[in-house]
Amino acid sequence: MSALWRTLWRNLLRSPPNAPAQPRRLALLHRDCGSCNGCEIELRLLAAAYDAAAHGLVFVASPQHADALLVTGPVSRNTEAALGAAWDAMPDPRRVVALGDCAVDGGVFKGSYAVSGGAGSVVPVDLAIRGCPPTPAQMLEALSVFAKSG
Amino acid sequence: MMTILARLRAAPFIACPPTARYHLDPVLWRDVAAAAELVPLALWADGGNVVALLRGAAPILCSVAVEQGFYPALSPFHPTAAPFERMVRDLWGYVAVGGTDPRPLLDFGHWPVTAPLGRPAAPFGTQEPPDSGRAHRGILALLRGKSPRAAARFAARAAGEATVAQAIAFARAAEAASGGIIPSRAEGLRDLMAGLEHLAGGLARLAAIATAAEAGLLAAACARHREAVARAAGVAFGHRLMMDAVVPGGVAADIEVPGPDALIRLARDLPRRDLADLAYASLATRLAALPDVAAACDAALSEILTQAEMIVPRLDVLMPGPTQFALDPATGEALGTAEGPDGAIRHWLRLEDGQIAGAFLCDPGWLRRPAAEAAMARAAPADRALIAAALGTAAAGMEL
Ligand code: SF4
Repeated sequence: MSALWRTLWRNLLRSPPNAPAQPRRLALLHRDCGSCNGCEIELRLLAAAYDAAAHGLVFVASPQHADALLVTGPVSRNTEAALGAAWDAMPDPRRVVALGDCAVDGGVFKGSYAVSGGAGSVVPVDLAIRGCPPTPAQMLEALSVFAKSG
Repeated sequence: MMTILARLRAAPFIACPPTARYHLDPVLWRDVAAAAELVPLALWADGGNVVALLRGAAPILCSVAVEQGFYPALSPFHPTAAPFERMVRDLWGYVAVGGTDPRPLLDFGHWPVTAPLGRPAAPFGTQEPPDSGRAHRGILALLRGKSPRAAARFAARAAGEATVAQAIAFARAAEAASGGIIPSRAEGLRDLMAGLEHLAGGLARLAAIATAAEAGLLAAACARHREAVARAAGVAFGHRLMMDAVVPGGVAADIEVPGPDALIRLARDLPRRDLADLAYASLATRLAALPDVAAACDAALSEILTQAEMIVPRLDVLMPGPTQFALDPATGEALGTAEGPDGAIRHWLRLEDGQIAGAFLCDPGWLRRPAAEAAMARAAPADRALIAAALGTAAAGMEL
């Protein structure tokens, strides 16, 4: 079988019978919206020490290449516009993950004059991962399920 | 003629353990500002005064009354004061007369209020934030009117990479203002936690340098060890970053039962020479040309080695006993200092009947950021990412 046919065959049948199922790829665009950096510490460990890529989770730098927007921080008022712009620049289908208590609903900063109170106040949230910060294991579990549900 | 320090010490003062706050008239304030040896470490406002923390033989606090919204600027004499003056303008609405930089730092017209901590000021009008203010969450306003115990969780979230040190500085300020001394076991547990945070910080710094230098093997090794530290801390203190584990009056909880074993194992399994060898082998060519980065790399490695060695001795000196005490609802002010992974963290608190009436949390980022920016401006474009990784700090701590 020629290489071309092999490629076509693979594309037609994403996971051939009896082969282990490939994880669905999820390209994440991370936006720090006023995080304390705690969520970022755990997110960096998710990428570097939990083999996120093997679970299909990849981090991209451009909205054009993203399947999902990954928001950390309580969405400070100073980041609202930039968050909206990132969302507007993403092609459909696109989803939003709120990572950490701050991004879920403002967390401890809820009600402050300087925060809008979570990702949901600017973009439509599809997945909320609680925790202050959530552990890399919790992130991995929630994001793997989310990737498959896309 | 009296020296400037003698004149300062002759001014009226109020106690602010471990120092005092001298209240100066505008003339003396300006003379103090002009003294080259009294470098401002921090500047903030409180109840109609502007307060400066100056570097002397020991840190010195002084204040000046704000008149009609104005006070004499320090920035013409000390450029490091400029970002603080911009922050005071944004949060309290007080303008530094003669200040060198009139731009906003935190308030870009997106808040529903102006001067949230002080006197309403003329709004700037909405502007797009250039490169600051994104991490401003209004922490100082959230502290007000709360007991130190209730407010500690905001201080602990000023900067995630230094959450233990932030919480210790905050607790020390609250304890000094209330006139209490924590039990020795609590002090020992704080040392243990702070050491783990420094260890994690050294590994994170080295990982950032390795990533920027595209030294994948070294970055992966650092991440693996950083993860091991987080796991052991989670076992010992119930939270991987030890957030909220330090509280005013002591620590939230004693070390949990498998904790000492987990920490002993961590200390045993952390590589010492291997990591240093790998670091110098992977980074040697880049380090040779960049002394700032080489120094940061040395500092990170020595932090990792020292803190790993200290884990077991710190466990050994823990004495049985209580882990916290209840703070008296006091009135007074104090300064609390703790060494974080990126430098000294200084918290100032003023309490009224046990409630926070005024506060400032000074992050090392205030002094580190301008130095990092200057180094980046001098560097070749191809080296900037590496310099940022070696010298930079997260914005959250200083933006509050
Ligand atoms: S959820 Fe917690 S760790 Fe994450 S940004 Fe907010 S305060 Fe920091």
